Amino acid sequence: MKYAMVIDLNQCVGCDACTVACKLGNDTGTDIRWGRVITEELGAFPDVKKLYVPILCMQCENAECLKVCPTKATYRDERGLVLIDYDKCIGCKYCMEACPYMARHFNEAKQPPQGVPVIGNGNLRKGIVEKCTFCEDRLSDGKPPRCVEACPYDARVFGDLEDPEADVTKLVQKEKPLVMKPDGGYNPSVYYTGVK
Amino acid sequence: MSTGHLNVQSETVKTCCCICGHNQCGVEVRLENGIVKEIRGDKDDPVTQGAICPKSIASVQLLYHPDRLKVPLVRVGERGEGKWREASWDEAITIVSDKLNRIKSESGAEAVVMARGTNRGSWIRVFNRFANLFGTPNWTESGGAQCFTPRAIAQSLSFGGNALEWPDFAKTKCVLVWGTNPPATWPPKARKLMAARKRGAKLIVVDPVQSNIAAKADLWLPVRPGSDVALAMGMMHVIIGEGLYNKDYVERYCIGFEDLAKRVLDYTPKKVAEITWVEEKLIVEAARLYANSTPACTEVAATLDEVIDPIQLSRAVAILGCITGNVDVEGGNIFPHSAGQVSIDTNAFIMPDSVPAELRTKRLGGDAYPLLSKNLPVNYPMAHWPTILDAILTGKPYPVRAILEIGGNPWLSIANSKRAHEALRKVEFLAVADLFLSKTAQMADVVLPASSWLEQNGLADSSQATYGPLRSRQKLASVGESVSDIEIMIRLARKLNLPEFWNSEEEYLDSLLKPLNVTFAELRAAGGTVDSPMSYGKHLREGFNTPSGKIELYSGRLKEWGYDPLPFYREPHESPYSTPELAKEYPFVMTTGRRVSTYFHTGLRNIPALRDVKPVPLLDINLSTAESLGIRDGEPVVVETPYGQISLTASLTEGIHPRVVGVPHGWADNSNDNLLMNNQVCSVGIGTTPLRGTLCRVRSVKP
Repeated sequence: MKYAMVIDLNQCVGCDACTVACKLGNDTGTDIRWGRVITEELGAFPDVKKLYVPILCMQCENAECLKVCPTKATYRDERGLVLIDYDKCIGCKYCMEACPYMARHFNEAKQPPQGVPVIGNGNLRKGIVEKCTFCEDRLSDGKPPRCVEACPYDARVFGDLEDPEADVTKLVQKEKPLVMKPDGGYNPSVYYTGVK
Repeated sequence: MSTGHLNVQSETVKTCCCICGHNQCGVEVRLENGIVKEIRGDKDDPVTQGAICPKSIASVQLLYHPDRLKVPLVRVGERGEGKWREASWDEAITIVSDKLNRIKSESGAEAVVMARGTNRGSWIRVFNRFANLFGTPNWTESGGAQCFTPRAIAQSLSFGGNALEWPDFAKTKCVLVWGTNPPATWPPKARKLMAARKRGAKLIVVDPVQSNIAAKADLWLPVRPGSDVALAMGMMHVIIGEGLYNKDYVERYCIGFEDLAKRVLDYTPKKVAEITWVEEKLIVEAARLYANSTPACTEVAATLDEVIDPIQLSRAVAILGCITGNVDVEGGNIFPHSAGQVSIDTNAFIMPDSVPAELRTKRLGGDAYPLLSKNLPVNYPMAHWPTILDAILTGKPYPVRAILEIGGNPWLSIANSKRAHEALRKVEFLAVADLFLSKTAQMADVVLPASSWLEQNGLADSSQATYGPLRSRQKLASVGESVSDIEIMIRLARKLNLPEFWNSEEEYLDSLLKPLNVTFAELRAAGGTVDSPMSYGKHLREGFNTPSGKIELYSGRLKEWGYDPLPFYREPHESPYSTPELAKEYPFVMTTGRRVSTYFHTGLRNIPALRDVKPVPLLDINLSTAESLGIRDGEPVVVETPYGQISLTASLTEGIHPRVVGVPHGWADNSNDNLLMNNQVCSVGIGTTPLRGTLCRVRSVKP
């Protein structure tokens, strides 16, 4: 099993439906976005092109965060997902330093305001590091991550690269998508297409 | 679907969002033990196909927000002091209706203004009718002359209906997006547009800022804010001059082509490039691409309504589609139609004649702005907000003593906020219906707690975005004693003894569905949707709804009423060219009103998940300009006009002209863009405050 995501930057318009679906579904606190969309600009006015680039935990095959965690709180589960055991995390932030994609976030206990109920999977902790999990709580039900489902433009495709029939596998074979920071040797599982 | 799991009763209900009032997207709401847990796009919705926006997804936090108003409030301290007592609905409704009745008997119904804002559930025209039945000529909208009305009038004059609202993305080969950013404001339309683009349709975007959709364009035309009419005229110059127009269509369906051709002669690409700051070759290229892509469609929104001459701009953009043969055809722009329910956009529904004839002549702004305020040719004449503010402050031409405001926040949303603040402080009686103590509600005498879309039954029947099928909305939750805006109107109407109003929401909804021989309850039980296929060519076959039965490139009616019958360019009243002296002090051309995907007008900044994504109000400013002013990305800046100043955070971009800045709308306090605006100059005939293309300066405020 090797979960992966392909994001078509040609289809991403930077509307942040994904960002907000993630925040709601994963109950992330103020200032914490497991998934976010950054804007890159290529060129200068008037010959400029904005590019919206979603960033999330890249689920690296060669994960730097795994190597530096002193308490083994960051671990790889039986599905190959890099996850964090909040009970073991001591909030030392080594992993945040190590992550080449700035995909990890320290939870300083800023939470949604009192009275707004926990509505997602209840990831409410403090003093720990947290990050995108590919919505691992949904995968066993066969549901894709929330960001994939929320995208109005079908920019994201998710699936198991070891399934030859999966759309994600076919896309990776056909489109030869790019990864972010390919020279780092991290072998991330999030791919990008539509970059000219 | 209902499943029992670990004592959790889980169910998923299909309903329609109404967080923005306009798109009304089909959504699936998942509840656990009666608590709303998740909102996601409904991929089976015949109109929106699963498109959803951050606002809808985050509506759970709106529904359960701790600051929601749960009971009616009555002011006990000084106005704006924040001292309230809780009241029963009966008492609150009695206070409001007694006061409105007393003022009506003492000063006439015209002393009562009824103003609406956000359409939290397809009730705009219900409130319109309510005001007419009460007898006041002074019904108005925060949008009004700033949104939809000018372009509805222009479209009615040109081809007798709102075809610009329904671009047929599914079958088009080219989309011309004019001054709107559908990914932020119309996700279902943006979804269709992006699908068209993916299958090869060309995309031309006119916008001073490289917006989300402009970033995807084949051609981006960064027009100087407020000079749009010149750009449209320049494109017509090329299309007609090079013989690229649809001769057969023009001959068969249009009148006034020769006059139009003469009119656009002056608008050479060279001259238009000087006016609009768009490169000459880009103007020519865009005109050719648009005219040579058949069919092509046009997507517009409120930019067309917010310039110095909104009727001319809407006419010019509409006419581009007419001379290229793209109106009422597949892949072009088509006329809105419905599944057959009662239309709420008619005189029969709104009952404007309930206002006595002599009072109708007293409508505030009626004399100066007859296109807005008299009954032509749209069905909902309204009063003019800046004139209402004047009447409150000066007592002339007669005193305005009360405002009943439903869904609106004029403290922030009316141009020239200082004047709005003075008027809202001064008016004798202010009643506000809202979900929260908005800036306007804080000034009120009585606040009535309204509900969100998750708490309402209703029809999703927006004429702007439905593309035909009728969908519906179901009440899934309730918060305190808050009720829907329509229920508030029903309670007030009962107390005011207004005739010809409904006794319950259900009765109202059933009355709309009568032609379909179904009740609201039956509609919901049957899935909640009535399909309606796209229809094309009706007006090509049967004639257009204009005096001539043709598309009127030359408008005889405009001529008759004393306006120019053909589009022409008017320089903004304030600009580097019309006021060069002022431009020395205020060197930047400003565009305001830009929307982002996370907020709707002045609302939703208090929703945690949304605020997290867009935490501060951003000023779009060119990188080199910012550098010359010593401003770095993310630093605080002050924007100043002759009328006021506000504080924003600099967002440096190459996606804007070095002499243009983009100011966001809807933020409160010292980031409120309406503090920068003058409302004393309004457009001819229609009374629009120009919000695009005025002058400002920017300075760094380093700590």
